[in-house]
Amino acid sequence: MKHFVSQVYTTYVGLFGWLNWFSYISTVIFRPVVLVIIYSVLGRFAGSPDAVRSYSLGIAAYTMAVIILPGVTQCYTRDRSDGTLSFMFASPVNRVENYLARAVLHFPNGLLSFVSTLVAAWIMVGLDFSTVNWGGFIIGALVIAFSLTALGEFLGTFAIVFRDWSNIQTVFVGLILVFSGVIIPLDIYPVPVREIARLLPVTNGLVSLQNTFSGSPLADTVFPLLREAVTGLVYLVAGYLAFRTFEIAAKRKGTLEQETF
Amino acid sequence: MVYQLRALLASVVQQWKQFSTYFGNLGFFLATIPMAIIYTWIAMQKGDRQVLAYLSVGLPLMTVWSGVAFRIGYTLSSELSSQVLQFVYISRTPVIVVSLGKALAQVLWGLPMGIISFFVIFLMTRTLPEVSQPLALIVSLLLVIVGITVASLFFSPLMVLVGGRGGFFNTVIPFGLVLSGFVFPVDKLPVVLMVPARLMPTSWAMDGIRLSLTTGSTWADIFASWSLCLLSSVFLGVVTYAMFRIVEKRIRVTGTRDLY
Repeated sequence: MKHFVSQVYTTYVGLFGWLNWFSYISTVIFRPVVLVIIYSVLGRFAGSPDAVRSYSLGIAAYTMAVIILPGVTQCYTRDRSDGTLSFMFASPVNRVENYLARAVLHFPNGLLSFVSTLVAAWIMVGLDFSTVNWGGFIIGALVIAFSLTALGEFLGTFAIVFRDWSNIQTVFVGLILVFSGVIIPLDIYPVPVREIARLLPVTNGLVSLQNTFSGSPLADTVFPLLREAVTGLVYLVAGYLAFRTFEIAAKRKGTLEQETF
Repeated sequence: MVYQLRALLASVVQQWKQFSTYFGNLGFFLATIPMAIIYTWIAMQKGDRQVLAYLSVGLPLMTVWSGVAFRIGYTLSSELSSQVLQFVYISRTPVIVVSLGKALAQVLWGLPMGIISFFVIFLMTRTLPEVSQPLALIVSLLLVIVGITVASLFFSPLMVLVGGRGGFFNTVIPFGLVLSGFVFPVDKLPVVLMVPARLMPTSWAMDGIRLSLTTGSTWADIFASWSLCLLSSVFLGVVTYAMFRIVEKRIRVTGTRDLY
């Protein structure tokens, strides 16, 4: 446990590039506020001044993605580019521990962004919290943050074998924005696209989040919530398998500083 | 002047070659295309043709600006951390000329992304913006490019002076989008945001674009927006130049290059 806690701390402090006061506060707290401003002014300009209220939950879930995914993937890209990954591979450290430790402190960052967005929406556009089923809503937010963290772990491991991997999280953040229902409802897409979209984090969890926000009992949306959790678990396990496979491949080919595949 | 122009072109070529070896962080340009899709979708809900026309032009420019501001912002500080900035200062070419060349290369590199963004929006709306003053639109677009270059260059010395580190642009870019006028005209903003927005040359140039898309707008209004765009570009350029001088002073005179 001591080793795990130590790795949680060192991987976060040493490899998270946004861990300085300006960047951290502006990214976690102010960026969500700016996003709410953009959507509310755009709504007013486009003739739907109230639209931002209906998008608020989606925007809040999206802000979790924009802090968690880059945060976790940085843990791998910087570990490789700064030359410290090879020391980890040379050490006998427990790989499961090391793999899981990299994500732990990014999880609360996502939740903080989520809360920050909702507070901004409450203050700026009067988002109404009077009917929220808080228990279900909080569980929904935690599960979405978990599945996003798991996706971050999965994507991050590819940095071991590919250079210039840092932008992949940008692509996934974009996919989540467009296809997970945060703004554009899923039902406008053809069925195959919808099914692919359900493989992304947020898509299923957001359904539960929206229902519990409007007061539905958690039991009514337990299926999408479970699916969100399973999606996260699959990414987490696949990420670990990739982590191990890529370590073996990079060592065998001696390509830690180059492209392995 | 001829030598400076030559240095400027050389700087454009150097930066261009650097991109072409590793595709110059395309992710920062690509990142805004999903955003453009979302903004267009929101506007399509009411389907106001003028709003859609404005976004058809503004959102591709947003794509260009986001990538360019990020990349330019890091140029001077990257040279500083790579220990090559001292050589730039030893050379007789003013560093602002070199940085301007790099900024131009960044804008050129970003333009295809803007075009892709335009096509994505066209595929969604299936309409091309109706232009009432084509000439005014072309000039306004050129002024937006000038505005993007000047506004992006502003961040280059700023990053060095404030010791901007990773994540500096995470809020700066979205906030820049609010103030730049690419997503909505800045007169839709609350007064507290409209005032700083009017210091951005792009906010005036986007007014020029809106006027060139609107039937019945007068040339006097268009000229006014162009003039104010140029005026704010000069203002921002002077501030940027002053910041470059401060950076130079730190290196040449006070020797506090590595202190913020």
